[in-house]
Amino acid sequence: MSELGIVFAGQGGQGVRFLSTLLGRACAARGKQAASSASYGPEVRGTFTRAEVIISDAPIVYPRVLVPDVLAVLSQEAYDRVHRDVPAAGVILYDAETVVPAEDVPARQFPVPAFQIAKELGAPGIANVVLLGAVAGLTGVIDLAGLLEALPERGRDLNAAALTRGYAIGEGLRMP
Amino acid sequence: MPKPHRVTIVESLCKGQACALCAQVCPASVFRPADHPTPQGIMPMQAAYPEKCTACHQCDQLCPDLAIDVIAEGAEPAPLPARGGPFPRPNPMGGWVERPALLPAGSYFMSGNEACAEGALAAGCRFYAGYPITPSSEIMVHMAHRLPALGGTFTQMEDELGSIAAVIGASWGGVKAMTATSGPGISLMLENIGYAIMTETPCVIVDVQRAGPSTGQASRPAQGDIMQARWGAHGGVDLIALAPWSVQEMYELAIRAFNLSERFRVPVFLLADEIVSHLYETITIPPAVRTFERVRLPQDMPFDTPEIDGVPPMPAFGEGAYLLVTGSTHDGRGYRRTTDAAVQDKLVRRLSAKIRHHQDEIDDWEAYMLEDAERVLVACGSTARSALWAVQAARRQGQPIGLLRLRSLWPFPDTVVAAHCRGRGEIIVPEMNLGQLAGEVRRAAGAPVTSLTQVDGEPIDPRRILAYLQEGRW
Amino acid sequence: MAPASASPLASDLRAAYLRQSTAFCPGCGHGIFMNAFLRAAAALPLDFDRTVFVSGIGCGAWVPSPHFLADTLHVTHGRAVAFAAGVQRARPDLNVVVISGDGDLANIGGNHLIHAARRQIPIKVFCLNNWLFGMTGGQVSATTPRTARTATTPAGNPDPPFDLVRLVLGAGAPFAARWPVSQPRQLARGILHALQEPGFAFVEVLSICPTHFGRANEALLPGEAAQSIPWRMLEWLRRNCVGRERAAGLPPEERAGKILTGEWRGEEGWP
Repeated sequence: MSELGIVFAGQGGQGVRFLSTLLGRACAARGKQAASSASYGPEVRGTFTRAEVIISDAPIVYPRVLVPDVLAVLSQEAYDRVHRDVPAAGVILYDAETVVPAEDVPARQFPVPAFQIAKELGAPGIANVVLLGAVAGLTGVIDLAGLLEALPERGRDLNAAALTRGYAIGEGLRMP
Repeated sequence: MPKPHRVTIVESLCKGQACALCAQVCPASVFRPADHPTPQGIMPMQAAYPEKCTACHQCDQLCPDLAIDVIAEGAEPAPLPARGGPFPRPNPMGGWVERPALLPAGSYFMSGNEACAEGALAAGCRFYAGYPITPSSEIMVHMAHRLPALGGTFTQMEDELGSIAAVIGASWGGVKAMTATSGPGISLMLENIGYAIMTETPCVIVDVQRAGPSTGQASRPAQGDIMQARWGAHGGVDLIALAPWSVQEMYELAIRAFNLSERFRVPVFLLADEIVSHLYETITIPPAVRTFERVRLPQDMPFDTPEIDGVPPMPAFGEGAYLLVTGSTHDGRGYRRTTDAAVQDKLVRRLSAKIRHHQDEIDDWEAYMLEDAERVLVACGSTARSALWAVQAARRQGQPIGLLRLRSLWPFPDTVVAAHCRGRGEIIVPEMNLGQLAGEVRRAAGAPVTSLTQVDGEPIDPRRILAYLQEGRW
Repeated sequence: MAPASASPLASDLRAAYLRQSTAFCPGCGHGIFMNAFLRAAAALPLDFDRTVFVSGIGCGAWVPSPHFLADTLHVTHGRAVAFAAGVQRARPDLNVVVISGDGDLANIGGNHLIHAARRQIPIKVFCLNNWLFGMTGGQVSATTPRTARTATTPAGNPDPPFDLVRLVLGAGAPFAARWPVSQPRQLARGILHALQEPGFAFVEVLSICPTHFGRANEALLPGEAAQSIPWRMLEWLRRNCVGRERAAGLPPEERAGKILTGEWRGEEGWP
């Protein structure tokens, strides 16, 4: 693997930043180089938020994602703003419930029932974690166990369940 | 007849008739002006009629110059409490020591701001005073959580003026101290940063640069404070500034900032930017850290050295040094010399020379693919990562391009820049301001310099630099 | 008959606590304060070897630095209380005493003062209020009385002054006091009380500036031309200051315009 650039996007308060740091932390613990950053307006909640992470086996020179390999979005606004950045070789994962994807997109696009699963788990607030599981499962950038180990104590069981469900969906989307 | 009380005035202390409070308060008319002037040209008061004294003590307790002694017949003056030690004098020799790092050695994933705080703690920082400001606040929050358990002190002050003031006060208390802020806060701190320069107070100031001027764009990166750090405090005397480009260097250069600060008794800037401060990265914490501990030596002069470029020892408060710390021009003991040209000249020159003459201990840089480079990029901070990306891409296309990355910015590493730039075809300086670094490079490089500026509050896209290298387009 | 209780000799106080002779103008009220402070310090005693004196810029700031033979921190204009907060928080084993002027503490440094009072940082703050900026030539300050003439209010000060005791009490100070230099024994006792306080303590010292305030406002001073201006200023203080307990028993017309002196506790509320 050279460098894998992943962009998470959604609305403020959806926990987009949490995803990029969790994935970075999990990969760092597996001996990989990781760099994660976010950009958001001064209003912390309620606006478009974008966070990203680069995972690499070698030192990361430029720490921001120039061309996303994977885009994972949790809202229509986020989708509308970012999906054109993804090239044909890239993949877009979007929440099946809240995002209606465009048709003229070169990248492969897959819906993930993130909110649906989160609701089934009784915690709509962890749709983001389901989506992260799907990203990890799709890319194989980290194994599920590594991801689970990186989870913070708070809310660990619910998050683990969400990651596990998402990871299985992601694995199913891998190219044969 | 009873013996009279004794009343004496020290004439050399007396300010004379313009004061004359003794004569006016005395109910017994003991005092009158003398008929001879003092060497200072003052007609002093004298106790002309001591036999009239009733020892009411109104005069000696009112005298603004403590010039009057009244000893009542048959009464001993109250003795004064004893003074003088014993004083605690911990580690008077100071110097380099190796100590275990605070965090267990290993790999971590943390933000630049956290790493900066951890580096400071590892260096021995045990005092933090600050005021909230984006994008530096996480440093303060981290310190608030970490310092108490380490026996340190955290205090959130009423403003940035107070923050840097408290830091300097704590440093004189013998504690390694720091603050962190961003451009608007630096603007407020500058007067006291000048005070720290003048009083030779070690302290570390982290400036997480954001887009200005004024409030600008609080969460957006910039490199607009390079000149402010160097020239912001009036008087124009040298200080030290370091520029980290990664989370790893936020840790390492925070340690180095403290070491240089204690070594040279000077405020040290860590000139970070929003990109490295909010970036999370994999970093490696080594098992040990090398730190420079303050040289205290309370018996020596704390504000001068025999050498023209020396760093005097710095005792702390409470060690019996009876420190006279002042931002006014002062001699080696700290006495104010506010009209003495020679003292002013010597002090100002030493404050700069102690930095300039030791630049070999301070200069810090990395060279990338410079051996055969016809064109050289010079950059610092997170911009250097954009530059390196562009250099690597251009090299893959066969262009002979290299990068000189400056990790210390002040004192400006003139000889380093000259050594790597002289005679090259083009020196290219990308930066997130209107050409502050380029100006310095132009002065030192000995080669034509192109300034590439970007002030839109966004990181410099490395593809922009590549396009310049390929097509000369910016 | 000899007095029952002897007091230290000025020459002993100088030898024990001072580095040099006083640098003040003739009859300066700050010198009277310094005299009283050293007597209070000797009586307490305040251990000068374990005390840091912090001062800002201005005549009042010169009292501890360079005079006091102790650790002194003579800082930028207005920031003495903030520096002192840093020293105290870093070294709670040391006594920290701020001595500075009204311009330094109440004009440019007012924010630090009220926050130190609010946070009840255990420092002692002595504000030598001489009612104007002395060192720079007698300009109006935050404590200049209304209508008083200064270099920058040639027609009389149009603005009302701060009541510093009310200011710090309102900010949350547990202890505040006001004493004039015209009563040096009372002043020394008041200084001693403040130094004994365990927490934040503030003393407004009503000082005099004969050089600037006295000359500019000579017409307002009592006494005769034969008397020195410092003396006439002290006389003005004697006539216009009244102890808060005594004032409580005075009819309103006699209290009007008087300056209350004494000690206040935060829990009493505003004076």
